[in-house]
Amino acid sequence: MKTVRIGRWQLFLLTANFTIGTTVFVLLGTLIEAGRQDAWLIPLWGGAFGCALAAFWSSLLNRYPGHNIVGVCRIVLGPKIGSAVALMYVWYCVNVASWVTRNLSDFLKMTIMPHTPMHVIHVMFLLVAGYAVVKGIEPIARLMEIFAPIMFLSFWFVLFVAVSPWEWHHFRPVFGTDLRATFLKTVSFLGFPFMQAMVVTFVWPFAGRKAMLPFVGGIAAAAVSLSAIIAFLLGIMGIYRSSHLTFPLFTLAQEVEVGSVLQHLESIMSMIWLLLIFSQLSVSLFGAFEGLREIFRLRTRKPIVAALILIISALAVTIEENIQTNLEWNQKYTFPYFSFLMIVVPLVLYAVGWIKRRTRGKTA
Amino acid sequence: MTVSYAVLLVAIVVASGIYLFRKRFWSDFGVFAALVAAGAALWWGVWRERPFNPLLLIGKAIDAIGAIVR
Amino acid sequence: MVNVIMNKFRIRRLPKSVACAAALIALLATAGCWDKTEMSDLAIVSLAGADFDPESQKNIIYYQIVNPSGVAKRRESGPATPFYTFKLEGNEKIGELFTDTTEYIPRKLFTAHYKALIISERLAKRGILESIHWIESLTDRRSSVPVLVSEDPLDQVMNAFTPLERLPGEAIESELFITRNISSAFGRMIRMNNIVKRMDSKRATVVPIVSFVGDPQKAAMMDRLDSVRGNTETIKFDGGAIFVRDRMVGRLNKEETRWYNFLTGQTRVLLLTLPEPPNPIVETVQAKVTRKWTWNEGEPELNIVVRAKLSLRRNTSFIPMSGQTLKKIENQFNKHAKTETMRLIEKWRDKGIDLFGIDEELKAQEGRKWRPYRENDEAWKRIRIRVTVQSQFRQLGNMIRYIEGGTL
Repeated sequence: MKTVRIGRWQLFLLTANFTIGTTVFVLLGTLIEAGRQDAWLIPLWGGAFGCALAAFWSSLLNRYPGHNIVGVCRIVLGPKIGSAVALMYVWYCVNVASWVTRNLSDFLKMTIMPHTPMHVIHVMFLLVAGYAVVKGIEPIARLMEIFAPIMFLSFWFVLFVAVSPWEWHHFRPVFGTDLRATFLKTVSFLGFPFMQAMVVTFVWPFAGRKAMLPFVGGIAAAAVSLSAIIAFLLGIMGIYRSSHLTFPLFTLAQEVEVGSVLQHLESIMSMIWLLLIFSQLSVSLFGAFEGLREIFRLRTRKPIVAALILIISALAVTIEENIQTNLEWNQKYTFPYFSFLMIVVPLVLYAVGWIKRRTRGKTA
Repeated sequence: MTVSYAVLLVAIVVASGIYLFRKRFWSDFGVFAALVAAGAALWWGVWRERPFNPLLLIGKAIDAIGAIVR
Repeated sequence: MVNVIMNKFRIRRLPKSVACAAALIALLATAGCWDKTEMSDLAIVSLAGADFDPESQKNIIYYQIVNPSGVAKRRESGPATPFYTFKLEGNEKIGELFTDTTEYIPRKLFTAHYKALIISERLAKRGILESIHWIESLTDRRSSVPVLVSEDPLDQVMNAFTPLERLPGEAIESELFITRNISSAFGRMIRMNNIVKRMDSKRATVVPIVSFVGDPQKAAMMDRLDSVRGNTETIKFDGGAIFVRDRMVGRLNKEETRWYNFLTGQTRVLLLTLPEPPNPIVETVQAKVTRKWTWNEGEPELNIVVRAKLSLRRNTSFIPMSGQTLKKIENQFNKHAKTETMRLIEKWRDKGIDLFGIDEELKAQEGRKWRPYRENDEAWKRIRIRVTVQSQFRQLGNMIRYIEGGTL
């Protein structure tokens, strides 16, 4: 079988798109509400944290080349306990996939397709993502490679064309807010999206030895992008409107009117969001599948992915009642939940692995 | 119309199950059956308007741990 | 040929049954069944109006809906009005009242392209928070719609034909935006989203005021369009309504609106007749109004600097043309502009209305010495304001020497 390989540029794009993913339409309002005129700083410190975490994960995974986090669990903790711990990561990927699917249907139902039942949107999107996962990571990576420049250019085109109502005083007084209080209020932002970005490490076995730089670079690029997007939102729409709208970026694109020619650019925005959702969904679905494959030594792809789609389509319905409950849950529980899986457990793995190597070194 | 999507999903799952059974990939079949059972249970909850939200459990667990730590 | 290509790229050909099944499944992915909209099912709203009757406590909404066969260039004979105005009234709240459209209009309302929202003066003075929520909460009602306030009963304004433009909505849109280089009667920030953006500040938004001219009965009939008199029985723009947050708190007359739009940088064109003889008519062609906050004698000071390039293109008075005269006129302009600006600012400051966003800017200053002013909500009323006007003639018009009157 041909070895599947992902290039470094593809890994960079995968990471950046995954990290920006749903943040750009679920969290912007809450970030601006918390940070007010300094909200553009929040992704910068989040990104710094994300890069540090990514470096840590890279060093952990580079000690066991050719394995993802599930493989590392099984090697360090033994096949039985390791598998049990690894199942937590599989559950986590399924969780992320259901969140992502639900965010998509929330957005589509509110803006473009209010009458379509959400199950239809879920199943339809999951089938497409599932098909992509069945074919492997390479098509997904290549898709990102093709679409990323188009997405990037169109997105920033829309934002630049919307600048006419820009007002600098929306940013002032600069650093006038209590930054420490803002940090404490937005601690969940460290979890979603930056700790969530560690799901991309499921593609590590396909990425080759020098995977750390594109990975960390992707997170940094995503953080800078998010900061710039928030800055544009603040400048164009101001604090009041951005924090009161559910999808401020969508409304921003909707109100662009250059001459009487460039109008209704929200269609471009929706397409870009669909692609971002797709990249996030396919990577998390891929992670869930790869985890299961390593734990149970599976030989087939399609049936397992089909069963995962069944679960995720159900979870997408049950996992939140509405956007408000989702945001409240996010505020309270994201940081502890994510940090357990993304900081505590890898630290334990790192420590146990290190101890094991030392004792093995002593007895050898 | 929604029914057709449900039928489609069920058809895909059933076809995969039959495929695994006939090819005798038993370990795969076991995992598949477990996942399908979980999915079916979740959909049953949705159908009966008593959806099961695992995030509530996670929230309760975190609250409990927080209470103990404090 | 197809086989050759497929062999070259090593593409497997699917068996027919699988291909059929795949095609059917792909069709299911085009899930537009629930949200499809036929063009002929839509009622395209061109103008919307909102009013409130305090006696009967009823909310009133007007929709001006385009009649496609009436707007087409070549019509079948017989009257076909280009638009119909539907009036809905009831004691319910605005959000619920909107569903009453099903009692009258056999179509789905399509509000994504409406050109203006006209609010009656009595509703504007009560507060338009409900209308703001109504517009902001659904994505197909764009908040970038211009807002107008109507002084005359909304009934008259919404049921009037306009000459030259078959749809009053289009007429209003053209008037608001095409005439920007001719006069500064209308600013740029007259949209609903400008009002909403300033909800957390004291800064005022000024939106145009419309009124009705003539006989309302005649204006509502199609044969008004057959009359050759252009500006009888039509809607007219005059002045500006001052909105602070969601309430109308005052009114600017025609002159004041033009100065306001000029001083807030929304237009660059200002036409005025200077009061001192020979009363030349001066037009600014390129103007920049900047504000600088400085610290003077231990107190902050706002320095408004107006730099304008002047033109005599629209002048009709006799002036003896010479470099000296032009300099004199420039100084007259500077003096006049300064007095007018100060008068406008002080008049509305005394009334407690922050027309120019002074409070907002004061609170945006960084640094520790500004803190007592940032935290004081009344400080903006007492801030020293200095206006400096600098002008220079650039264009002189077609006459290099004006004609003297009187007898030879």
